[in-house]
Amino acid sequence: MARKKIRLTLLHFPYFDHSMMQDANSLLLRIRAGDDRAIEEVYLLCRQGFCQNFAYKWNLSTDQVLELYQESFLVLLESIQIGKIQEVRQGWLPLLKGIGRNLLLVQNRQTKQLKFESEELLPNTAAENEANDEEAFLQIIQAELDNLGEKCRELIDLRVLKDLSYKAIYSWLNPSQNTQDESALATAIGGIRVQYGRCIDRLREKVFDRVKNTGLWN
Amino acid sequence: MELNAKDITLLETYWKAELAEQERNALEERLNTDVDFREAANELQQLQKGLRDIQRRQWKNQLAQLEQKAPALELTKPAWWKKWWILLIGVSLLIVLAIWLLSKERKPQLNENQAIAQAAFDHFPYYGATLGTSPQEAIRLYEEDHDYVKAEQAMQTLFQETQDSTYLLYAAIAAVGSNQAEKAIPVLEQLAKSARFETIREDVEWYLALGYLGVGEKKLAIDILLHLSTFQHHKHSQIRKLIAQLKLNSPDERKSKKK
Repeated sequence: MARKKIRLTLLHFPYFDHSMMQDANSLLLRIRAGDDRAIEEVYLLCRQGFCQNFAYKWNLSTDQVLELYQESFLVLLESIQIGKIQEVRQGWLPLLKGIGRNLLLVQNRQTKQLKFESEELLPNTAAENEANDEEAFLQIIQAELDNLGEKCRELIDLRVLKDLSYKAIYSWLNPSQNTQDESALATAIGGIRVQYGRCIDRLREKVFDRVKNTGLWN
Repeated sequence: MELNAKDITLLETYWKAELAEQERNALEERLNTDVDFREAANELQQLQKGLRDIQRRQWKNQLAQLEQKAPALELTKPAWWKKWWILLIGVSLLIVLAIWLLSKERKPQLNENQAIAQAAFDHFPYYGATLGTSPQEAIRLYEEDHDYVKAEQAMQTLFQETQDSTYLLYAAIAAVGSNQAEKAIPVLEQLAKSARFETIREDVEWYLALGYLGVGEKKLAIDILLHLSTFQHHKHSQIRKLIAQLKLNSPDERKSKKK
């Protein structure tokens, strides 16, 4: 008989404030839906605790600790966006601390590697050109994205940035509709797939036409 | 080259490494042979990465703006005990545990008879006859604190100094009260025969019975108690109760009760 794996979390303790976790999870949903106020709320909520913790445990200056906090927060936002974080179990701060710790460990590992590979690094001018091209490329994408219709932008946002399946996109766009008919649902999902395909391909063609015309990465 | 919805879905699934082996092989074959398709696929991948970079940049700007609005950071050095609180709690718990274990060691568990004897033990008041001449400390320990361990020692000392057998009596009673019956029995046996304690003989025998019970001599204890029960003694009801209790606790009694 398979034994059920029990994972003990703070939620199992009777004295734990469940309403706090409900708030955290409602904030999570709001962030996923792109609510800037929710991002601000969480950012300011954890800032002092995070910085205080890392400044002394890792001996970081104020600037370094703020940079780390922002990087960790970006990773958190990305994880929420692509659905990697579905639930906040122990509060925002432990989550951010975990991300911060991982970032520092990766950074330390990279610093060690750089010592050995420093000769292979790109010369400064080449790196600068690369960065400039990257910047120009992103500007082109942004400009062409703004030229797309709102529906297309929404589909690209849901599919590429939120990493949703076509079925999930259908539910997102039609939250109140509960289609029981399988074939009707399949047709609707297929329609979304075709629509998204057209939008992203149109954007690709426009962006790379401009890239070729401006001579980027040549 | 134009990419259709099916191609795009296939490519996206391939980049996530979620494509089935057969489909993956077919797609890789196409990517290797069809140059236009490969170029379009590369462009799509670059575009999707670019889109994610744009969003990351937007968030970065948003966070930078938030940082400008946020109050200044107050990075205070945490108090040393905050750093070591887990260790402190651990050490404190160990100390409490050690104290508890030591105190447990000092209080040996009573057996059944000793427990009955201790429960039946009652304080025998200090007689006023020697009150005026006795040092206050010994009286306080016996009469007020009921600290029979220390009182027994204090009374023994007094007896050695004064050779007054009254102190010996109270030392023996204190020994019975502090579960040191082996010390009390020889003394109480002697004092029970002494003419000096004629008036309180039944009391002396009562404590002797408790002493016997304390060392496991249950039969001797019952004999004394049965003897005492024939007198009209102020402890009469206590004596009868104890006899009943002892008879009930004897193995023979238990067997007959079970039957």
